[in-house]
Amino acid sequence: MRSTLALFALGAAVALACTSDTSGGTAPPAAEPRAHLRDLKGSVKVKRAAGDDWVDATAETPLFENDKVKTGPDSSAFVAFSNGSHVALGEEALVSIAETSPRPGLDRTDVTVLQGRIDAELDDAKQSLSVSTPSATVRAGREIVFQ
Amino acid sequence: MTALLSSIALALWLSAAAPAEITVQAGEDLPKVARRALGDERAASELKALNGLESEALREGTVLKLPGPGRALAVSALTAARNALRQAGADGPRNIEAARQLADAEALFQAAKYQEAAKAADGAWRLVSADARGPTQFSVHVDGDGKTEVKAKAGQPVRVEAEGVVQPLYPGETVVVTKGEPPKKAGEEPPHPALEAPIPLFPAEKAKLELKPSPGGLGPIALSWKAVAGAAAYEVEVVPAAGGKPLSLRVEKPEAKIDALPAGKYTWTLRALSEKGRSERSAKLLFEVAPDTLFLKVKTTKWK
Repeated sequence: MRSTLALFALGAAVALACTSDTSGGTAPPAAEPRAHLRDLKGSVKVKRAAGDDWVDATAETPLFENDKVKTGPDSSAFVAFSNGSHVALGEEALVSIAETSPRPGLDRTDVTVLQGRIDAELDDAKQSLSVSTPSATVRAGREIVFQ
Repeated sequence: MTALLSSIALALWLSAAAPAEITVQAGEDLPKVARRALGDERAASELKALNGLESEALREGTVLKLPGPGRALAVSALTAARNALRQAGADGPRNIEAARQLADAEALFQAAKYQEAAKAADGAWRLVSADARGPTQFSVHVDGDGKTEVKAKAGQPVRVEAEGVVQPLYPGETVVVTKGEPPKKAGEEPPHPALEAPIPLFPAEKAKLELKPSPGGLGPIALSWKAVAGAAAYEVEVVPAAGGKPLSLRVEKPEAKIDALPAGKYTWTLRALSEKGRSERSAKLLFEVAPDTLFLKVKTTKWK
């Protein structure tokens, strides 16, 4: 009887975890957000890693790994990472929030810029930020250049 | 699968990290090799340290190790530190300490300790550069073709990586990266890979060329080889196997024509040339110039 109850409780917990949605869209692929969207201006849309649709973003929308963000003409947004670094997206930009668990042999990336312009800033020299594009990887942060 | 990917990554890293080598040619000393390999005779001290040599005299055929990609990083850091120190002047304890660190960096560079040199130079740069204080800021712009422009604006330098080449970027500097190419600083040519030695095609090794008489011997003799990427010209040398004065030619296409040579055996070799330097010498091939027997038979027949 005790084991039956335990199984029921586990099943309920799994079902609850699978249906929880902290962003108003489809279920996030990771428990902890990598970043949050702030200072939205104009048209800013988000596509979840597991979703097919672009949905309008709102301030403080959490961003999880492999989520995508795009801005329209005359639009901008601010992506604040949990480590304190931040990235400002210019108009008509398309970025992807990168994976926390990189593939073997590959370095970690925080954000991938697929198109458009971003302006990045690291508040503290102890932080680091890695930006990938289709042709290059940019790494910033204290002591990272000659490692 | 994970192990396979790791192995591939390791193999790629090892192949990228494999140091290049250069073979000493006749009459070359260390400064000449440094000029040929690195474009600067002053790099002789680096080659000396890197190869554990005791003098600048070299024996032909000696294979020397060349610096790896860490040298370019160190050059970039040293350049940034020298410029920052020049602007900051020599007054004040901070600048004096920076000058001391830069001198250390220069000495480490001469000793071919490139990573240590880069760190020391970066430390000197941080001490005197106003840009080094405050938050690190940079921008990244990607166009529709994936071409990336990175601009370092303030704070610490950023590192731009593409195609196995790492380019440190100091505040105020901009780098452009085209897909499939290494980073290229604005107004700067991309790093030039060393020219490959040409591969001679014709005359092949031990080929016997039966030729008609021509003023000066027998001819004509056509030579050809595989074109080398990045080569602006080629230097061809034909040497009589029995000894004698070599014949040198300089041509722009991967072919050359010699009007005539006396009958006999010859070796030929060549190298590719560009404004950045010369390639290693190609393989040396032996060929023979002989009279065309059929032609001679016609000339000596009694029927005429």
